[in-house]
Amino acid sequence: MYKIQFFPRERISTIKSFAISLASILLAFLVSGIIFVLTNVDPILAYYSLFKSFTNLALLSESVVRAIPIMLVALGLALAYKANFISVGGEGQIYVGGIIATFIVLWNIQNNIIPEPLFMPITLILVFLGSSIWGIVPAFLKAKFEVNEVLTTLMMNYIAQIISNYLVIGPWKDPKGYGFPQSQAFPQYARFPLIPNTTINSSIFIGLSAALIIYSILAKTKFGFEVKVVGDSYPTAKYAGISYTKVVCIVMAISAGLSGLAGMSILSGVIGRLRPDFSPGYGYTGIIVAWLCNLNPLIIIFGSIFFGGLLVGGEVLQSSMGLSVGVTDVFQALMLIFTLSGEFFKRYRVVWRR
Amino acid sequence: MEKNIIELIDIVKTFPGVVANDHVNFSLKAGEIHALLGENGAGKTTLMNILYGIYRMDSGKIKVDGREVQIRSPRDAIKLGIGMVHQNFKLIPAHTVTENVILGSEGSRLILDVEGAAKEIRSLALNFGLYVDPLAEVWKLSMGERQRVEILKLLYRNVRVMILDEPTTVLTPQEKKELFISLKEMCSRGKSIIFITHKLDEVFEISDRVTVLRRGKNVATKVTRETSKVELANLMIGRPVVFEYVKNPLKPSGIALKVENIRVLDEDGNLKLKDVSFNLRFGEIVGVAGVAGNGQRELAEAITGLRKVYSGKIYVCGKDLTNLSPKKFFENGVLFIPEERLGVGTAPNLSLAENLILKTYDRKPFSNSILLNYKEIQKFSEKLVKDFEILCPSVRVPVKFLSGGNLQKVVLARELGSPVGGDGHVIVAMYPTRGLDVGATEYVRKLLLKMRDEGNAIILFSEDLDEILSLSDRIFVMFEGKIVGEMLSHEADIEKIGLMMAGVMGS
Repeated sequence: MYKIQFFPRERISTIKSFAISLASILLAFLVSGIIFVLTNVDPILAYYSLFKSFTNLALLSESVVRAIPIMLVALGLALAYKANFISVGGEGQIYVGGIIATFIVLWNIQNNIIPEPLFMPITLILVFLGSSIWGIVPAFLKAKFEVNEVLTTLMMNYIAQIISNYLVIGPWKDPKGYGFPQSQAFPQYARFPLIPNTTINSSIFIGLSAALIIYSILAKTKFGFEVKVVGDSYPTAKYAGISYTKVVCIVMAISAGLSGLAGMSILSGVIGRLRPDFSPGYGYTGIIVAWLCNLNPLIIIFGSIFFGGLLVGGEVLQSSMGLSVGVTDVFQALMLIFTLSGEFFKRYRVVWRR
Repeated sequence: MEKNIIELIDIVKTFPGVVANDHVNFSLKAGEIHALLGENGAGKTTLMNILYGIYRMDSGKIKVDGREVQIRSPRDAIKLGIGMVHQNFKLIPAHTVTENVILGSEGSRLILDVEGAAKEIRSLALNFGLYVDPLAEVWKLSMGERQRVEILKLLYRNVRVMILDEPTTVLTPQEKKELFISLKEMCSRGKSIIFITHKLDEVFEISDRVTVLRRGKNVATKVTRETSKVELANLMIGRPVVFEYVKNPLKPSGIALKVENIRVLDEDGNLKLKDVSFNLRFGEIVGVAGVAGNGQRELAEAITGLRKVYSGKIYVCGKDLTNLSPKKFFENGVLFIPEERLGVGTAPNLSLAENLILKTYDRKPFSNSILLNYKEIQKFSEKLVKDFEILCPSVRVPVKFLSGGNLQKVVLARELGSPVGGDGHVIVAMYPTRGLDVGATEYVRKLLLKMRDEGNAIILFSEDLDEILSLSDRIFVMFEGKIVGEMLSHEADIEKIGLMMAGVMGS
């Protein structure tokens, strides 16, 4: 009889680590391939459609558009996870950001107080701050009353989404919208300008700068050091005199602020108005991206584009082969499962023994 | 000569980077107590875990009664009549003694005969002097009583060979005596015992033969009465060891720490410190003896600011620091060597350098108002690594990869080597040598004495009475949240301390 044993590795070579990542991704392809076959779809053709987004410039540009909110959410979550604060609140924070942005837009349409050139900077700041307050709530509850953050952040997602949907079918419904559940369109000054010759809007630069900022916070600052200590060992942080409450509240303020900006980037960058359920689960995709990219802010840039591409590919698949968009979800989930399992093999080595 | 009931032949077991057992041979005769002596990390527990079926060996043979056997799990071991009591007890606190004892050996009958089992346990307990109420719930029992439950568990399963892993660590001197009487009783009734220890005195008190392991190899097996403490120590360490520490005369100079009537609650609101008051002077070491769980942890946490006091006052150098933050205590020169090195004293996945600046990262030169200065941090940590003789591949290695001794040096280096406070510091050391090998223990003790001679005030919590007696100038004994005894160490009597620890007498 053979016996499998696992031993912790002290370190792992880059090549091996890369090989394990690659193997995990290939296995994800293999297993989802089986699912394709079971649903009577040619897997080769399916993968071809799924990855078409990376070969075709128009589709690639569309993938980057999808990547922006994913990137912002994933960056915020990565920071929270570094502090071992397991937030799943990105989705709700997207809606909060969207609500605040829409509020300011509608208010300014009526009152016309903020001058046009200042409108976007001011709105960005207010959206960030407003979402931060939303994000501090679960952090504070956790720090002061030990309330589980997974539950609070998850539940708050529903609250935010339902409020947003209520506003759009109720008080904020466009009176001239032929009864459609949507707000008035955002005026031009409330939209992110497009990068010439692409469909990519300029909020991409917010995402890229956020990646650099989060990276620098973690790698270079005192606060980043505190985050790492809190995340690695809560008792050590307490012993070293680092305030847990301060650290998680700031972390969640930043995390939720970025997700709020993600919400605004969807409305001001793509849709141009508030609509019900305007986020197709970017808040949850962000969780996957953050972990897949090993919580590394710079890798998250590419991870988001990859997942943006998968979303676009999924839609191509849907239109060209009549498959449900759910297929992309299955594929995403398999990617997550296999990559996380791959992480296990990066930390342990396997020995087969008789 | 009695025959060998157990033979371990050429056992090899490797862990990544370490050969834990390197062709080890070991034999156990019927009716003997065989001590397995070695420093921490010498491979004693690994060897016994192989015999008990917890680890699989890489190569080698195990013979029981002269026949080669395969032991794949503790269940196999028990079937062969081999049982083990681990250092950390494996009992269910919410269940009664009887339920714990019969767990796993209920048989296949549908109806559980708890009363019958309790009766059997009571008679076993009586026979071997292992007094414990079979119907008591385990969480109410002292550590000594829990150990008896573990032993009863094995007797109930009718094992012939009993492996005890460092059984005396949790016991008072009296409980230890009682345990030894029980063990001898078991031997006279035909049981054999393997006694894992790193304490030389115990080898002479209890064992018939002794096998010494050093760095995974067995270096000798001796008949106990034909050897000596010095010989065994040399075998164990591989070089001569200092047993006595040279202590310079006491030169106390002023009160460093003054604790006035403090009361402290635990997480569940129970009073853990009941009106504790004392003074600690610069230039002295005060040793605190006591069975774990009698308020030592709460006292240490209170005087380092980690735990709020409910009432009472704490002064450091005359300054009232009551209920200020741990940071304030540190800034006023209160240094803390906590009980858990990994997970409290250090953050496991952070690097050696990062752990060395854990308490000073927010001051110059390690950081300005926002950014850390990694160049200075590197320079500082390389200096500490050299000063404190920390063995490490680089200052970037995560500390979880360091050995216990090196990890303790990291904590010591940070606490004692950080630029804080004035001239004299208050050093709170909790079990600073627990689990360390003899070399590292010697290092820590000498360092504490050196700090004392340099005029620091030291309060030393320890479960090792010899350590307390040889290092301290004064000794406190704690029992149920009070200091029940205080004495000068040269007037101290180990017997009396033991009774105080057990709550039998107070001064």
